[in-house]
Amino acid sequence: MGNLMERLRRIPLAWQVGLLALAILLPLPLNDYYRAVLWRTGIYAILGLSLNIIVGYAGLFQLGHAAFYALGAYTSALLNLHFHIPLVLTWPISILVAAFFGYLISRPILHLRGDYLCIVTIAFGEVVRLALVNNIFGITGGANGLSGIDQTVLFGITLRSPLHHYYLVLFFLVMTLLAVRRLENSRLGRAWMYIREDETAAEAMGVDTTWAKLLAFVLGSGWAGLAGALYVARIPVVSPDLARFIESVVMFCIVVLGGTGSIPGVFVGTLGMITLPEIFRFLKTWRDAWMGVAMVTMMIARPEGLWPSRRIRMEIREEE
Amino acid sequence: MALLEIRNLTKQFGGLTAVDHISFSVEEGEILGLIGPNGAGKTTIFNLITGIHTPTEGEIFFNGHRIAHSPLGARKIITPVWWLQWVPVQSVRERWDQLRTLRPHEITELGIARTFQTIRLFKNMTVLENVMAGVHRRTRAGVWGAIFRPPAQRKEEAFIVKEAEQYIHFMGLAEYRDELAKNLPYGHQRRLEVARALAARPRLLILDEPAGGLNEQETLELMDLIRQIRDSGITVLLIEHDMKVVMGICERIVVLDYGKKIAEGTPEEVQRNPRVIQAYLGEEEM
Repeated sequence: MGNLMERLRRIPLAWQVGLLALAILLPLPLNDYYRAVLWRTGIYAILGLSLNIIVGYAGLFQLGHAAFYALGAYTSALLNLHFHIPLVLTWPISILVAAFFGYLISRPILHLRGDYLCIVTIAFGEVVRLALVNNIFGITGGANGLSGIDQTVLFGITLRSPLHHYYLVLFFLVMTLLAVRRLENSRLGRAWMYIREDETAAEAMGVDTTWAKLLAFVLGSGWAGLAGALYVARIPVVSPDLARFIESVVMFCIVVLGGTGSIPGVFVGTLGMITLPEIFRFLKTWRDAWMGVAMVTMMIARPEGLWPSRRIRMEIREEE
Repeated sequence: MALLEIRNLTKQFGGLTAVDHISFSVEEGEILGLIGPNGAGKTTIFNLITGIHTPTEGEIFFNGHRIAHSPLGARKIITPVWWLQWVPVQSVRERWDQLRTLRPHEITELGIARTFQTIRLFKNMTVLENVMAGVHRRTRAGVWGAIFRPPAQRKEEAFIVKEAEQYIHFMGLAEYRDELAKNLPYGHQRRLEVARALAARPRLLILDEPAGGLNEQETLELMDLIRQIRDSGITVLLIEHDMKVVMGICERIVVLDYGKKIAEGTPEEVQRNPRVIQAYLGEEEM
């Protein structure tokens, strides 16, 4: 096994093409239920990758990520319902709105550290959810949410089956993946890592920490907005449930379970938090109990995650 | 005009006065030593210069810019009015610029780079990546460049690596290029900090106990390097406990004791000064 992994690492292109081919072919022999599961996996992988920018790269706690997901979804839904803008055209606006709120919320709290930041982001998540429940400005439809949203039409084709939507999400997932990988190996990505390693030293070396942290928040939030818009593209109903605290926790777990700051880790995390629970639905409530046991065991045995980034493993193991 | 001018600088932490009305200046092209017993306020002065602390009183000028001051406790006023910087009225923005204190990265931008007394490397990053941090302030790429990688950005990335390698080579760390910073021997970690600071191409290099923990041989090599750095046109301000280093390379020395300046002059003058001998060198055979 280890040998195989080693060999796969040495031929990265073949490895990537193989995985992509697998992702394209996988849903074909499956029924619609499992295709929908794969679609959900894709959505949460995008959410995980976006949160990974904030939590993994810049090392900032964000436990209100679902709020931006919901903002993206509601933006798309509202624009479609009130102004009859085709869903496809609402996607960029969803991204911008979520990114704008990401800026708005993070700007005044960037100087907060670790746990304090965490509390503010939880509060923001709840504020968004309650605002949606309370039918803010009379447009969000209260606890029932909004329904009657159009179907997605892409290049004249109406996306109807789960398979269509799966491929749509897969396309954006691959784009996200490419972008995130490039971000990681760039001047900005290094700035995030300098901040995570030692913020004082980073500042003293001339890294504008406010700039870097803001960008992490804005990019992460905007990307979550895109995931929200993609959700609306398949499910024509949005409700405040999208912004539930547990959703934020699941996203956070996706990042931490697989290995903070690691891109393959996000996929492992999504598999563990979304795909497997969905497949083992027949276990009913036992599912959640096993989930909890697995999480606790893992945090004791392998705190750096299942597929950690080389660097973070060292950071965590060092403190022991 | 002096490169760095410290005027009447005071810093209080609660009831403790760490730096007490100190004034001195650093001339372009010199090596100035800052010495004094433990707790004399040396590192606090460095933190004030580099913007980590804000002074309680007094000002610091670097190359004509005021980089630190304290108008009525600037930070306290500024927190609620940061949005002033975006008011599209010239006079309001000028007022904002007077009110605010510069942030550490802006001071680095003006040309001051430093090392830390307790080594603060990015431990889990490679030597190359550490030094690349120094080049950060001289480059511009942002989100767009990172994701779309236009030719200009690729060129910039190559430039960052080339620059960093140059300073790694200068500090004699070439063979450790891809080693993690934390795996370097102690003496090399000190050198790496200097390389990282130099990569920012500062006009003023601030070294906080660069010879701390080094052996005889390493110390001699370091002294030589500091001289070379000065000869390349960089002004050096350093704190050092090792008297051989201070007396050997500094052209001028400022002596602090309990946050006050008690002497200033050439190494010979300082060694003869009775207050210095009493406060600091008394027990040693100087």
